[in-house]
Amino acid sequence: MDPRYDAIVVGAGFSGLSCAVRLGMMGKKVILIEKHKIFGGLNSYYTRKVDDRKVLFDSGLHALTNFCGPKDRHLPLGKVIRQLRLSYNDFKLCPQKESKISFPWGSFRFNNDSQFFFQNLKNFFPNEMNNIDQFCEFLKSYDEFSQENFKAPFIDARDELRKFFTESRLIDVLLVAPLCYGSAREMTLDWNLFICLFRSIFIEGLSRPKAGIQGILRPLTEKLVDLNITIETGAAVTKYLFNSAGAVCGAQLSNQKTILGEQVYCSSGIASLSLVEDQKNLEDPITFVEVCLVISKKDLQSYIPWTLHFETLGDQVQYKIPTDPFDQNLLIWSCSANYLDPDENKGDEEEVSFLKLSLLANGNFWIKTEAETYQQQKNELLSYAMKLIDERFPGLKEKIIGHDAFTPRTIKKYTGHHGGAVYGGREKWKDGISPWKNLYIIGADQGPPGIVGSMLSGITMANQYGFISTTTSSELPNELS
Amino acid sequence: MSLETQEKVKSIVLNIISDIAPDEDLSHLDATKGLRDQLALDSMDFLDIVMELRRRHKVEVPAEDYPHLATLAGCVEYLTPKMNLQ
Ligand SMILES: Cc1cc2nc3c(=O)[nH]c(=O)nc-3n(C[C@H](O)[C@H](O)[C@H](O)COP(=O)(O)OP(=O)(O)OC[C@H]3O[C@@H](n4cnc5c(N)ncnc54)[C@H](O)[C@@H]3O)c2cc1C
Repeated sequence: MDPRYDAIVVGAGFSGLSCAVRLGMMGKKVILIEKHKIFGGLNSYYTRKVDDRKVLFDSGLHALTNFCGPKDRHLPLGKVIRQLRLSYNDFKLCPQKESKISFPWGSFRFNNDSQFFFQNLKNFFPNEMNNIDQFCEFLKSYDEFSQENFKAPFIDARDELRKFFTESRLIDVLLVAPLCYGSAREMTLDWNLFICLFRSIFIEGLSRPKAGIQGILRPLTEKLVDLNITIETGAAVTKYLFNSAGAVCGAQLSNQKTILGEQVYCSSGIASLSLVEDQKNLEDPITFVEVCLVISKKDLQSYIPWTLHFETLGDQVQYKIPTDPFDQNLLIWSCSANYLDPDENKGDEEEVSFLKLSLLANGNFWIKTEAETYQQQKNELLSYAMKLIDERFPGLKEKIIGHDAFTPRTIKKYTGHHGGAVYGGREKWKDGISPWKNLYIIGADQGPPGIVGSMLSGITMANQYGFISTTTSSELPNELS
Repeated sequence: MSLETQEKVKSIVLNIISDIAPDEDLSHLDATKGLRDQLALDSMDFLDIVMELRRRHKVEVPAEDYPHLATLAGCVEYLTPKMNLQ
């Protein structure tokens, strides 16, 4: 007989992992299905030989947003840790040193003390002093997770910011990081999402788990095991099964297994569900290429002072899908050497770090092009990165130990997201209810983007549909069930 | 409702809270005041109390009854008849 589950969770990225853990905590019989052998999805890891040693690469991680202290349970990351009953100390969070936003006309430093950032803005835009204070006051009173705000229809963040500020340059400074770290639209994003991302980056701040992405994946995986959740890796869902009433009742896997379940929580993106729909009218999503350079921690620290650097080469922010294979206007740099490690000196001096450069990309090109042009463009991408590095940090090029690059094709291959989408589609399914009964959407198409955002998505959807809706529905008395 | 059962129910609820909020000091809890304010619990934490009652003690609390769980005294009053403590 085919096994029957209370819930089938599709995808072991951060939304799926968190959702499965939560459902398991409710005492449900859960199966988690992941088409790859490794967990993490967009934010995973792999090892590769560099020279003679094995180097562990994080495939995504720049910085964990939503930094919080051990007692900040009311903040998003605190809530995630508490809801999943993880221990704050497991993550060993190392806060950022200092990051930077720059334009040809000015540059702005920020760290995990938001006052430092706001003061730098005031120094550069003295006429906006009062407006900045008003914006800060507004932030204090705004709750982006309230039902009313979270579910509000799209409001253009640029328009809203114009109500606070007169200088369009200041608006660009405020927008660039939230765009890069979570907008599925070109040039702008939804106002509520903007506030959510702005707070997660500038008010709460950035950090990095000492062990990289595995520092979060490992404790989550241990929870899955503790909760006896069935894990099926190396098998993809190829088809959803429907009962006679038209509701989803199970899934067919690529290894020929049939899994039956009462509910399905799906993190592979609404576009992937077009297993059952018309594929043609899907928009091109926001996606990226990334070059990752392996350099010793000591060398990186001696050349590069920042943790992240959002560098705009033109006068204004251009957050757009390029017509060329990759964009050359907006450079997103991240340097894993520049986090404050509490036990820095106890570590291995030989430790390697990563300098990453991410650029907006034309997903269509990278996914459709033939093998030969693909390789050619990948080489061009690498030369472009080397040229930029040489201009900015003469001498650093010689210190590079190894490199790797990924493209939208890699993203699509490893996550199944349509067009290599990183932040989901432009339209969101905020209540998680899909057009198919019993199938719920989790991850970037439902909730906030990012690691913490996707964990929150998995948790809230599990709470909503695995728990609340079953408690409100009329249940059999205990004796009868 | 014997005093003994009420004490048992109280310790069941406190056990659950201490698992959900391990770093809270529960010794000074005022039974008649709101749990939410005293312990900075939010609606997600409340859900966890309900979830653990169901999982560990097979007690169902429908959403419309959540207000009964606002204080420790309220929890004891509401849950004692629902629990099978033989
Ligand atoms: C290069 C890069 C860098 C990033 N850096 C950061 C960062 O520094 N900080 C941050 O907060 N966020 C970062 N992000 C964003 C963050 O990774 C994502 O927002 C988050 O991981 C999304 O999680 P998810 O669970 O929604 O989706 P995913 O991680 O995409 O998970 C989906 C999972 O489903 C699996 N799957 C898909 N289809 C099927 C199928 N048919 N059957 C079975 N399994 C299937 C996939 O293999 C995948 O594991 C980055 C993203 C990228 C691409």
